[in-house]
Amino acid sequence: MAVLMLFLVVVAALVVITSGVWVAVALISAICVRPSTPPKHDKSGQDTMD
Amino acid sequence: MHTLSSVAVVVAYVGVLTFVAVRARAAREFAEFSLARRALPLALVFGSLAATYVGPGFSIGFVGRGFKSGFFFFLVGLAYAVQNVLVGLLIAPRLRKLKGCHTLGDAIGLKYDRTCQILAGVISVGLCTGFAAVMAKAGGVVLTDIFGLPTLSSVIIVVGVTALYTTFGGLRASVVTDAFQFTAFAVLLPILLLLSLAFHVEGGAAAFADQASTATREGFGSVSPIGVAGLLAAFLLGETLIPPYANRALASKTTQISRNGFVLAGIFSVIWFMVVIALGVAARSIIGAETDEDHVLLSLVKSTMPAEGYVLLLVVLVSVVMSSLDSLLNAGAVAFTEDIVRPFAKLADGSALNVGRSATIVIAGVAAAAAVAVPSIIKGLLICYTIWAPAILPVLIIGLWTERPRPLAGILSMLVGTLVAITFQFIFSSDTGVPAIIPALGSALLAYVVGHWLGRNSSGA
Repeated sequence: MAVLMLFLVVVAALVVITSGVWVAVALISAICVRPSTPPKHDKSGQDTMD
Repeated sequence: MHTLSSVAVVVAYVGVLTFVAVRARAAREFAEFSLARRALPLALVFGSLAATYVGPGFSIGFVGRGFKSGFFFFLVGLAYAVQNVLVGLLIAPRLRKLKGCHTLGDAIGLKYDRTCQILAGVISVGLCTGFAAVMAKAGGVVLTDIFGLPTLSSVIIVVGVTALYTTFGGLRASVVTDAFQFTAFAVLLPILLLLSLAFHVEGGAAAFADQASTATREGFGSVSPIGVAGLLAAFLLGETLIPPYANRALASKTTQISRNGFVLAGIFSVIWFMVVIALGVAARSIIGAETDEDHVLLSLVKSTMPAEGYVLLLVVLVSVVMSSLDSLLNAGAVAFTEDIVRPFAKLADGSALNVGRSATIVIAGVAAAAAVAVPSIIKGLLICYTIWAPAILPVLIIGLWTERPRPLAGILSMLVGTLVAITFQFIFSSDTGVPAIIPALGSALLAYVVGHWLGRNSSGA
């Protein structure tokens, strides 16, 4: 039981670190690639720019 | 030597943050300032939502709670996760689908009428300023701990830097810097936990489980059933769709991203609570039992990290505060422009941008001044939660789910919800022992029903 609890906590810590890395990658691509023109339609085609 | 390397750590961190803020670029249109052109991808919506809700309460506060009451607060935190998932599934996509909306006030105005929009705008600006004052106070406290500056100077530095990039960059700068700040604390705090478990908790898994079980039992024993109900209500409803979250729902690239961003943020909050509560439990065998709740995290970092790591984590804690503060400043400024100024004056895009920027500075100034009067971080947050949920949620949620809601119902619900919340919070709370959010929410719902009925009669339906 004690080992399972510790295991869950360690897994949680690793998942949080992974989320941080995922957002970091998105951040780097967001600040390196600047959008040239605003999109008129989204990919789903449901929503348009107001 | 330690001082020199610590200063280097701070300078490097501030340098990277400045680079990120500059790369986020200045907003040139109001649509960019308010909604980042509705082009945010999933990772940024998720990162920014998580960075906004992980303020001092969900970091310093939860570590302290884990220290005192083990995993009891993890269970309370689950209510917050449920709220995020429900908002993602039921509300965020509906909000995102509305055309021409920059704010919650816009959405309420579209479903009800202009008076409701203005009222929602006044409540939004007031609450954003209140939340910002609490964040400014928290930032000031952490900065004072680092540099030993007077609290007022620390508050001015935190608010000034945050207001600077938010004023120029608007929502995009807020979201992009949030993502950077999220990365910093999402990597460093779990590393602190892993290091503490590996090298500092004596007795291994069995000792950790023992501490967790003892503290959790103490936690359950320390709160009455009505107290638990109040905590669950506050966590379930208190922060639901406050303006910064609503802005991220509106600014998502698609309705799917809006929904998935909130659902992911909800799931992440469960994992995050587990990490910060576990840090508090681990601290029980590392630092003294008499340590004050708000200082558990700082004491733990001091005991387990080298000087440079300690300074880096302190800077990250300021980031935790700034990422919440920038979102509140931007949301308040956008609500002021869109819901309070625009209904009275036709503004060209450039003028709206200028009004938004000026409002950011004014809200930041008021928040910095009010920060000095904030009694405590948790108390301040609870006051804001208590007013927000009854004032706005019934009107917003019913409005989004019904075809033709009645304006009178909206006006009565917002006014009664706000007044009952303030009255119970400041006058009757100590007499009754009932958390103010419960009677205020009940009154707001009742007022909505009465307003709906009166509205139907007056319209002859």
